[in-house]
Amino acid sequence: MGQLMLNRVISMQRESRRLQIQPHNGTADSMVDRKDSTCKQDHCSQGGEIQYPGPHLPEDIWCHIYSLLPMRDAARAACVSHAFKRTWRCYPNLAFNMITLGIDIESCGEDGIARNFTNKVDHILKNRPCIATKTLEIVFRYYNAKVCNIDSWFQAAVTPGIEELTIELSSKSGRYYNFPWSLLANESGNSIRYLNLARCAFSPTDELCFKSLSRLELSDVAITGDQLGSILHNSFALQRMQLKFCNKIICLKIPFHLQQLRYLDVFDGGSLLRVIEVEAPNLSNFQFMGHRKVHLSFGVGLQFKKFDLYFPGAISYVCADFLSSLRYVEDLSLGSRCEVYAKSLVIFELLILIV
Amino acid sequence: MATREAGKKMIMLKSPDGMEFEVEEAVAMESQTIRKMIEDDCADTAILIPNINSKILSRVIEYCNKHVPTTGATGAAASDTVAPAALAEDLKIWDAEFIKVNRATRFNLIQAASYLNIKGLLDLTSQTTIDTISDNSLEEIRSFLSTKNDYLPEEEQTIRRENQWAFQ
Repeated sequence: MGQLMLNRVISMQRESRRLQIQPHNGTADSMVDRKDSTCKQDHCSQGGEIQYPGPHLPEDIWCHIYSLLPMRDAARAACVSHAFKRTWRCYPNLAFNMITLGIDIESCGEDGIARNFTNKVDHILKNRPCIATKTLEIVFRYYNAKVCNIDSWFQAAVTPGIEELTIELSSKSGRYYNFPWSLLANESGNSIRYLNLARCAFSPTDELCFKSLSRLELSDVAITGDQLGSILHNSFALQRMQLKFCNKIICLKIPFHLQQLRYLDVFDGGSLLRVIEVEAPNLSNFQFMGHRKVHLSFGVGLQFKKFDLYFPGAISYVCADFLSSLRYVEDLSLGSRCEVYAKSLVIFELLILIV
Repeated sequence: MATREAGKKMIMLKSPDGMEFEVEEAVAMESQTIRKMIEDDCADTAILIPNINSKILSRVIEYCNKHVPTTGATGAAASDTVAPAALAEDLKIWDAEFIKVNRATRFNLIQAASYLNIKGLLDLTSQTTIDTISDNSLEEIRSFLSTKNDYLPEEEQTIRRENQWAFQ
């Protein structure tokens, strides 16, 4: 029994190590794949035993610690020793922005900044073996379609198993970057947990399946209500959604199958949005800000903990239509410009709710 | 060896150097490895924890005791009357004291946290290493981690050139 238990412990510890080596919130599989496909190849190519830092710190634990470093520090530390360089080659969190790439905004004009940014990203990706990315961030306000090779960056860095994708670009030229959604119409889409896009366009593609997506943020994205529906179609795990200035949406439908959805924030800067229809049954935090009144429709029995509404006429609209949904509200905020509302009894009811 | 004391189920943990530690089940289950064993009904005798000596195992148990979220454990975590923010602050101060150990002990704790799958302890023990790499020169990192520069001069030149952007 003792030996059996020992074997069990050892076996479970191995399992534990596999779990531990994954970056937090990651899947064990993606880490194992990465190690198998890259670290070992790299190791073999070195032709010798690599000594990992610290007294007997195993490789998998070391890879985990290294993955927690900011990208710039991880790249700098690659110069410490061969072991560090090898771990840098497997580094899964790519963050391309002005700060991590050390680009000085004062030093070169906008074209120069775009060229500098592009050269650095090209250079980093060229020296990176084809390994699994866990998080990819490209934040570049000086994005220039003529200079930046952004399509090739996505081809290189969006790999199956990717979990977080943040893309914030510029739309100064008046054209939105046409985000290659087809890259996510496969295993990469399945593993995405966090998707944050700003100033991009939606291009229809084969059916998208974001079965792990728990957080979606779209800011100034050229997408219609139907197109958004195709993203939400399979997003059963979605918990938070934020839409900012996605001004092509006329009717925003939040379907019933989004059972996990708790947070919905909508900021409208255009003139098209008319309706927000929420059927997701467990939404508890809702925020809408806009310049015009929209028609809100909530599922039967929906109760909010946090409810923020800002548009002309919001107070009378809430008093007339939504008091029953605010019975258990803990945080209520209403904003309405120049609104005179005479039905004091209803206001009184609202105040009682707030108290 | 599972016993009951004051209504709480106890688990016996054994280190390879022969020491035995009787801990509450809830405390032991801070380790996901041990939790899985208990849930799979494999923990009805003493659990041998290989590779973790009694000194390190006792520190790990000390950490788990402090961080166990139920009312059964010792320490501030047991109190229902302390506000969550105050509790978090208390834990932060406690953690900062806990991690004031020498380098060898810290690496042993990292390994133990990884083997036993205790995420909070792994994050805590790893943070010093992360901070050191982030805040120091290459030579200082080598010194801290007892790592030699095993690059040939031309190899070092190549990797420095490759990652020049990170030094700018």
